[in-house]
Amino acid sequence: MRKYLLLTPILLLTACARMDHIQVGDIDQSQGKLKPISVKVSENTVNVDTTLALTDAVLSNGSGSDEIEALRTIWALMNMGPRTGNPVFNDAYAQNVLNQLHAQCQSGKITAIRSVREANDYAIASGEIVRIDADCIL
Amino acid sequence: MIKNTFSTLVLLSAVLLLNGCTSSIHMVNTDGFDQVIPADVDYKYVEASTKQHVILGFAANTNYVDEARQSLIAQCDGELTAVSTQYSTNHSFLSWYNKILMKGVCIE
Amino acid sequence: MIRKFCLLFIALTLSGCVGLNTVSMTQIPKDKGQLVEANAHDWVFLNFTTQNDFADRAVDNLKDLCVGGKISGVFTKHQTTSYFLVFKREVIVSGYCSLPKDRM
Repeated sequence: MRKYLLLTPILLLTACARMDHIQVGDIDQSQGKLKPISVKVSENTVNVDTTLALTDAVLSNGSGSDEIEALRTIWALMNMGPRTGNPVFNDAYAQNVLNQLHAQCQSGKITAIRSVREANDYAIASGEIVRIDADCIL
Repeated sequence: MIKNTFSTLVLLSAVLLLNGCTSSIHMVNTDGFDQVIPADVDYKYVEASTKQHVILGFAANTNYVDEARQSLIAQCDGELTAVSTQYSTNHSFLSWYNKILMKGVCIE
Repeated sequence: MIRKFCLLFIALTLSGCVGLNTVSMTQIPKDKGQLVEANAHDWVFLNFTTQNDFADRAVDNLKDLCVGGKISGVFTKHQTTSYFLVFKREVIVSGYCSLPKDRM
Protein backbone atom coordinates (compact mmCIF):
# COMPACT_ATOMS: atom_id res chain seq x y z
CA MET A 1 0.00 0.00 0.00
CA ARG A 2 2.74 2.43 1.02
CA LYS A 3 4.71 1.87 -2.15
CA TYR A 4 1.67 2.76 -4.29
CA LEU A 5 1.11 5.92 -2.27
CA LEU A 6 4.75 6.85 -2.82
CA LEU A 7 4.45 6.08 -6.50
CA THR A 8 1.45 8.37 -7.05
CA PRO A 9 3.17 11.75 -6.43
CA ILE A 10 6.14 10.62 -8.51
CA LEU A 11 3.83 9.80 -11.41
CA LEU A 12 1.94 13.07 -10.98
CA LEU A 13 5.08 15.19 -10.88
CA THR A 14 6.62 13.64 -13.97
CA ALA A 15 5.74 15.92 -16.84
CA CYS A 16 6.95 14.36 -20.04
CA ALA A 17 6.81 15.93 -23.47
CA ARG A 18 5.44 13.68 -26.18
CA MET A 19 5.57 14.30 -29.91
CA ASP A 20 3.10 12.48 -32.14
CA HIS A 21 3.26 14.23 -35.45
CA ILE A 22 5.22 16.96 -37.22
CA GLN A 23 4.85 18.30 -40.73
CA VAL A 24 7.00 21.04 -42.26
CA GLY A 25 5.76 23.08 -45.22
CA ASP A 26 7.67 24.98 -47.92
CA ILE A 27 10.12 27.59 -46.63
CA ASP A 28 10.33 30.81 -48.63
CA GLN A 29 13.12 33.16 -47.51
CA SER A 30 13.33 35.00 -50.83
CA GLN A 31 10.45 37.46 -50.49
CA GLY A 32 11.43 39.59 -47.54
CA LYS A 33 11.95 39.59 -43.81
CA LEU A 34 10.30 36.87 -41.74
CA LYS A 35 8.54 37.26 -38.42
CA PRO A 36 7.95 34.12 -36.33
CA ILE A 37 4.30 33.51 -35.45
CA SER A 38 2.74 30.71 -33.47
CA VAL A 39 -0.63 29.32 -32.44
CA LYS A 40 -0.86 26.80 -29.63
CA VAL A 41 -4.11 25.28 -28.37
CA SER A 42 -4.38 22.56 -25.78
CA GLU A 43 -6.96 20.52 -23.97
CA ASN A 44 -6.41 18.94 -20.58
CA THR A 45 -7.55 15.38 -20.16
CA VAL A 46 -7.34 12.39 -17.85
CA ASN A 47 -6.13 8.93 -18.78
CA VAL A 48 -9.17 7.17 -17.34
CA ASP A 49 -7.83 3.65 -17.74
CA THR A 50 -4.57 4.42 -15.89
CA THR A 51 -6.52 6.28 -13.20
CA LEU A 52 -8.81 3.30 -12.68
CA ALA A 53 -5.85 0.91 -12.59
CA LEU A 54 -4.09 3.10 -10.03
CA THR A 55 -7.25 3.40 -7.93
CA ASP A 56 -7.62 -0.35 -8.10
CA ALA A 57 -4.02 -0.89 -6.96
CA VAL A 58 -4.33 1.57 -4.08
CA LEU A 59 -7.78 0.53 -2.81
CA SER A 60 -7.44 -3.20 -3.08
CA ASN A 61 -3.72 -3.33 -2.23
CA GLY A 62 -2.80 -4.84 -5.57
CA SER A 63 -5.20 -7.81 -5.36
CA GLY A 64 -7.61 -6.29 -7.91
CA SER A 65 -11.27 -5.40 -7.57
CA ASP A 66 -13.91 -6.98 -9.83
CA GLU A 67 -15.93 -3.75 -10.00
CA ILE A 68 -13.01 -1.63 -11.15
CA GLU A 69 -11.95 -4.28 -13.63
CA ALA A 70 -15.53 -4.23 -14.99
CA LEU A 71 -15.44 -0.42 -15.18
CA ARG A 72 -12.18 -0.56 -17.12
CA THR A 73 -13.73 -3.02 -19.58
CA ILE A 74 -16.84 -0.86 -19.98
CA TRP A 75 -14.66 2.21 -20.51
CA ALA A 76 -12.64 0.41 -23.19
CA LEU A 77 -15.74 -0.85 -25.00
CA MET A 78 -17.64 2.43 -24.80
CA ASN A 79 -14.80 4.55 -26.10
CA MET A 80 -13.36 2.46 -28.86
CA GLY A 81 -11.48 3.86 -31.81
CA PRO A 82 -8.11 5.07 -33.07
CA ARG A 83 -6.39 7.55 -30.80
CA THR A 84 -3.43 9.87 -30.83
CA GLY A 85 -2.30 10.45 -27.26
CA ASN A 86 -4.92 10.45 -24.53
CA PRO A 87 -8.52 10.96 -25.69
CA VAL A 88 -10.02 14.33 -24.77
CA PHE A 89 -13.55 15.24 -23.72
CA ASN A 90 -13.90 18.13 -26.18
CA ASP A 91 -12.87 17.85 -29.81
CA ALA A 92 -13.47 21.51 -30.70
CA TYR A 93 -10.36 22.96 -29.10
CA ALA A 94 -8.36 23.14 -32.33
CA GLN A 95 -11.10 24.47 -34.60
CA ASN A 96 -9.87 28.05 -34.79
CA VAL A 97 -6.15 27.65 -35.41
CA LEU A 98 -6.52 28.85 -39.01
CA ASN A 99 -8.24 32.10 -37.96
CA GLN A 100 -5.72 32.69 -35.17
CA LEU A 101 -2.74 32.10 -37.47
CA HIS A 102 -4.17 34.35 -40.15
CA ALA A 103 -4.86 37.10 -37.60
CA GLN A 104 -1.18 37.22 -36.63
CA CYS A 105 0.04 37.98 -40.15
CA GLN A 106 -1.34 41.13 -41.76
CA SER A 107 0.25 40.48 -45.15
CA GLY A 108 -1.46 37.07 -45.30
CA LYS A 109 1.76 35.56 -46.64
CA ILE A 110 2.89 32.79 -44.34
CA THR A 111 5.72 30.37 -44.95
CA ALA A 112 7.63 27.60 -43.15
CA ILE A 113 4.48 26.24 -41.51
CA ARG A 114 5.25 23.58 -38.90
CA SER A 115 2.19 21.63 -37.78
CA VAL A 116 2.98 19.83 -34.54
CA ARG A 117 0.76 17.45 -32.58
CA GLU A 118 2.33 17.00 -29.16
CA ALA A 119 1.43 16.71 -25.47
CA ASN A 120 2.55 17.29 -21.93
CA ASP A 121 2.06 13.95 -20.26
CA TYR A 122 1.64 13.68 -16.48
CA ALA A 123 1.06 9.88 -16.36
CA ILE A 124 -2.63 9.94 -15.41
CA ALA A 125 -3.36 13.31 -17.00
CA SER A 126 -2.10 15.16 -20.03
CA GLY A 127 -2.39 18.38 -21.97
CA GLU A 128 -3.03 17.43 -25.60
CA ILE A 129 -1.52 20.15 -27.79
CA VAL A 130 -1.91 21.30 -31.37
CA ARG A 131 0.81 23.82 -32.24
CA ILE A 132 1.29 25.64 -35.54
CA ASP A 133 4.56 27.56 -35.85
CA ALA A 134 5.23 29.60 -38.96
CA ASP A 135 6.95 32.67 -40.37
CA CYS A 136 5.03 35.70 -41.62
CA ILE A 137 6.55 37.36 -44.69
CA LEU A 138 6.57 41.09 -43.88
CA MET B 1 -26.75 -8.39 -1.28
CA ILE B 2 -26.52 -4.60 -0.77
CA LYS B 3 -22.99 -4.61 -2.11
CA ASN B 4 -24.08 -6.48 -5.26
CA THR B 5 -26.94 -4.07 -5.88
CA PHE B 6 -24.61 -1.10 -5.39
CA SER B 7 -22.05 -2.59 -7.79
CA THR B 8 -24.75 -3.21 -10.39
CA LEU B 9 -26.00 0.37 -10.07
CA VAL B 10 -22.48 1.78 -10.41
CA LEU B 11 -21.77 -0.32 -13.48
CA LEU B 12 -25.14 0.54 -15.04
CA SER B 13 -24.48 4.25 -14.50
CA ALA B 14 -21.05 3.79 -16.01
CA VAL B 15 -22.55 2.18 -19.11
CA LEU B 16 -24.89 5.12 -19.56
CA LEU B 17 -22.42 7.87 -18.69
CA LEU B 18 -19.24 6.65 -20.34
CA ASN B 19 -20.64 5.96 -23.78
CA GLY B 20 -18.80 7.86 -26.48
CA CYS B 21 -17.59 10.80 -24.47
CA THR B 22 -14.01 10.98 -25.69
CA SER B 23 -12.32 12.19 -28.84
CA SER B 24 -8.84 12.26 -30.25
CA ILE B 25 -7.36 14.80 -32.64
CA HIS B 26 -4.78 13.05 -34.79
CA MET B 27 -3.51 15.95 -36.85
CA VAL B 28 -4.15 19.52 -37.91
CA ASN B 29 -2.42 20.62 -41.08
CA THR B 30 -2.34 24.09 -42.62
CA ASP B 31 -0.94 25.08 -45.99
CA GLY B 32 -1.35 27.47 -48.88
CA PHE B 33 -0.61 30.81 -47.23
CA ASP B 34 1.60 31.92 -50.11
CA GLN B 35 -0.61 34.69 -51.42
CA VAL B 36 -1.04 38.28 -50.30
CA ILE B 37 -4.68 39.18 -49.77
CA PRO B 38 -5.07 42.75 -51.12
CA ALA B 39 -6.63 45.20 -48.67
CA ASP B 40 -9.48 46.18 -51.01
CA VAL B 41 -10.54 42.61 -51.80
CA ASP B 42 -13.32 40.79 -49.92
CA TYR B 43 -12.56 37.47 -48.34
CA LYS B 44 -14.46 35.06 -46.13
CA TYR B 45 -13.72 31.95 -44.11
CA VAL B 46 -15.36 28.78 -45.43
CA GLU B 47 -15.54 25.41 -43.72
CA ALA B 48 -16.74 21.89 -44.41
CA SER B 49 -17.07 18.91 -42.13
CA THR B 50 -17.81 15.25 -42.87
CA LYS B 51 -17.67 12.06 -40.84
CA GLN B 52 -17.62 8.31 -41.27
CA HIS B 53 -19.13 5.74 -38.91
CA VAL B 54 -16.80 2.77 -38.47
CA ILE B 55 -17.98 -0.36 -36.66
CA LEU B 56 -15.24 -2.56 -35.20
CA GLY B 57 -12.71 -1.17 -37.65
CA PHE B 58 -14.52 -2.25 -40.81
CA ALA B 59 -14.30 0.68 -43.20
CA ALA B 60 -14.56 0.15 -46.95
CA ASN B 61 -13.40 3.57 -48.14
CA THR B 62 -12.28 7.04 -47.18
CA ASN B 63 -14.74 8.90 -49.41
CA TYR B 64 -15.80 11.18 -46.56
CA VAL B 65 -12.48 13.00 -46.94
CA ASP B 66 -13.18 13.69 -50.62
CA GLU B 67 -16.71 14.84 -49.73
CA ALA B 68 -15.29 17.43 -47.31
CA ARG B 69 -12.96 18.68 -50.03
CA GLN B 70 -15.78 18.91 -52.59
CA SER B 71 -18.01 20.70 -50.09
CA LEU B 72 -15.29 23.24 -49.30
CA ILE B 73 -14.59 23.92 -52.97
CA ALA B 74 -18.33 24.29 -53.68
CA GLN B 75 -18.58 27.10 -51.13
CA CYS B 76 -16.02 29.28 -52.88
CA ASP B 77 -16.48 30.81 -56.32
CA GLY B 78 -13.17 32.63 -56.12
CA GLU B 79 -9.75 31.51 -55.02
CA LEU B 80 -9.51 29.13 -52.08
CA THR B 81 -6.34 29.61 -50.09
CA ALA B 82 -4.92 28.96 -46.59
CA VAL B 83 -6.59 25.58 -46.17
CA SER B 84 -6.45 23.81 -42.82
CA THR B 85 -7.38 20.16 -42.36
CA GLN B 86 -8.21 18.54 -39.03
CA TYR B 87 -8.52 14.77 -38.72
CA SER B 88 -10.08 13.47 -35.52
CA THR B 89 -12.03 10.53 -34.10
CA ASN B 90 -15.05 10.50 -31.79
CA HIS B 91 -15.04 7.25 -29.78
CA SER B 92 -18.16 5.19 -29.14
CA PHE B 93 -19.46 1.72 -28.21
CA LEU B 94 -17.58 -0.84 -30.35
CA SER B 95 -17.49 1.80 -33.06
CA TRP B 96 -16.28 5.29 -33.76
CA TYR B 97 -16.70 8.30 -36.03
CA ASN B 98 -13.78 9.53 -38.11
CA LYS B 99 -14.15 13.25 -38.75
CA ILE B 100 -12.60 15.67 -41.20
CA LEU B 101 -12.89 19.42 -40.71
CA MET B 102 -11.57 21.62 -43.52
CA LYS B 103 -11.38 25.39 -43.36
CA GLY B 104 -10.06 27.91 -45.79
CA VAL B 105 -9.98 31.55 -46.83
CA CYS B 106 -12.05 32.30 -49.92
CA ILE B 107 -10.95 35.38 -51.89
CA GLU B 108 -13.87 36.61 -54.01
CA MET C 1 22.52 -16.91 -14.54
CA ILE C 2 20.99 -18.22 -17.78
CA ARG C 3 17.94 -15.99 -17.19
CA LYS C 4 20.14 -12.90 -16.84
CA PHE C 5 22.04 -13.85 -19.96
CA CYS C 6 18.77 -14.28 -21.88
CA LEU C 7 17.49 -10.88 -20.72
CA LEU C 8 20.76 -9.21 -21.73
CA PHE C 9 20.67 -10.99 -25.08
CA ILE C 10 17.09 -9.79 -25.74
CA ALA C 11 17.97 -6.22 -24.65
CA LEU C 12 20.99 -6.12 -26.96
CA THR C 13 19.08 -7.72 -29.85
CA LEU C 14 16.30 -5.16 -29.69
CA SER C 15 18.76 -2.30 -29.28
CA GLY C 16 18.95 0.11 -32.20
CA CYS C 17 15.54 -0.71 -33.66
CA VAL C 18 14.08 2.28 -35.42
CA GLY C 19 10.41 3.13 -35.71
CA LEU C 20 8.84 5.68 -38.05
CA ASN C 21 6.49 8.11 -36.31
CA THR C 22 5.37 10.28 -39.21
CA VAL C 23 6.37 11.17 -42.73
CA SER C 24 5.12 13.96 -44.99
CA MET C 25 6.04 15.78 -48.18
CA THR C 26 4.94 18.97 -49.90
CA GLN C 27 4.62 19.74 -53.60
CA ILE C 28 7.80 19.41 -55.67
CA PRO C 29 8.28 22.10 -58.36
CA LYS C 30 9.54 21.44 -61.89
CA ASP C 31 12.70 23.50 -61.36
CA LYS C 32 13.89 21.74 -58.29
CA GLY C 33 17.11 23.52 -57.38
CA GLN C 34 19.67 22.07 -55.03
CA LEU C 35 18.79 19.37 -52.51
CA VAL C 36 19.41 20.49 -48.93
CA GLU C 37 19.00 18.32 -45.86
CA ALA C 38 19.12 18.94 -42.14
CA ASN C 39 18.32 16.96 -39.07
CA ALA C 40 18.16 17.32 -35.34
CA HIS C 41 17.77 14.83 -32.53
CA ASP C 42 17.65 14.44 -28.81
CA TRP C 43 18.24 11.56 -26.42
CA VAL C 44 15.69 10.63 -23.81
CA PHE C 45 15.86 8.16 -20.96
CA LEU C 46 12.70 6.01 -20.76
CA ASN C 47 10.88 8.70 -22.74
CA PHE C 48 11.22 11.18 -19.85
CA THR C 49 11.62 14.57 -21.46
CA THR C 50 10.06 17.97 -20.96
CA GLN C 51 10.45 19.56 -24.39
CA ASN C 52 10.27 18.98 -28.13
CA ASP C 53 12.64 21.79 -29.13
CA PHE C 54 14.82 19.53 -31.26
CA ALA C 55 12.20 19.69 -34.04
CA ASP C 56 12.55 23.48 -34.27
CA ARG C 57 16.33 23.09 -34.54
CA ALA C 58 15.92 20.87 -37.62
CA VAL C 59 13.88 23.58 -39.38
CA ASP C 60 16.37 26.30 -38.37
CA ASN C 61 19.24 24.18 -39.71
CA LEU C 62 17.42 23.72 -43.01
CA LYS C 63 16.73 27.46 -43.28
CA ASP C 64 20.42 28.18 -42.78
CA LEU C 65 21.21 26.07 -45.83
CA CYS C 66 19.06 28.22 -48.12
CA VAL C 67 19.33 31.80 -46.88
CA GLY C 68 17.41 34.14 -49.19
CA GLY C 69 15.95 31.28 -51.21
CA LYS C 70 12.81 29.18 -51.33
CA ILE C 71 12.76 25.59 -50.11
CA SER C 72 10.02 23.49 -51.67
CA GLY C 73 9.23 19.79 -51.83
CA VAL C 74 9.92 19.61 -48.11
CA PHE C 75 10.18 16.02 -46.94
CA THR C 76 9.81 15.50 -43.19
CA LYS C 77 10.61 12.28 -41.37
CA HIS C 78 10.09 11.84 -37.64
CA GLN C 79 11.60 8.65 -36.26
CA THR C 80 12.55 7.11 -32.94
CA THR C 81 15.45 4.72 -32.43
CA SER C 82 15.19 2.51 -29.35
CA TYR C 83 18.27 1.53 -27.43
CA PHE C 84 18.41 -0.16 -24.05
CA LEU C 85 16.28 2.13 -21.82
CA VAL C 86 17.27 5.09 -24.00
CA PHE C 87 15.54 6.54 -27.06
CA LYS C 88 16.84 8.77 -29.82
CA ARG C 89 14.13 11.02 -31.23
CA GLU C 90 15.01 12.47 -34.61
CA VAL C 91 13.50 14.80 -37.18
CA ILE C 92 15.03 14.76 -40.66
CA VAL C 93 13.94 17.43 -43.13
CA SER C 94 15.06 17.91 -46.69
CA GLY C 95 13.94 20.00 -49.62
CA TYR C 96 14.94 21.67 -52.85
CA CYS C 97 16.52 25.10 -52.45
CA SER C 98 15.78 27.54 -55.23
CA LEU C 99 17.80 30.75 -54.98
CA PRO C 100 16.85 33.96 -56.83
CA LYS C 101 18.88 34.36 -60.05
CA ASP C 102 20.89 37.30 -58.69
CA ARG C 103 22.14 35.16 -55.77
CA MET C 104 23.18 32.10 -57.77
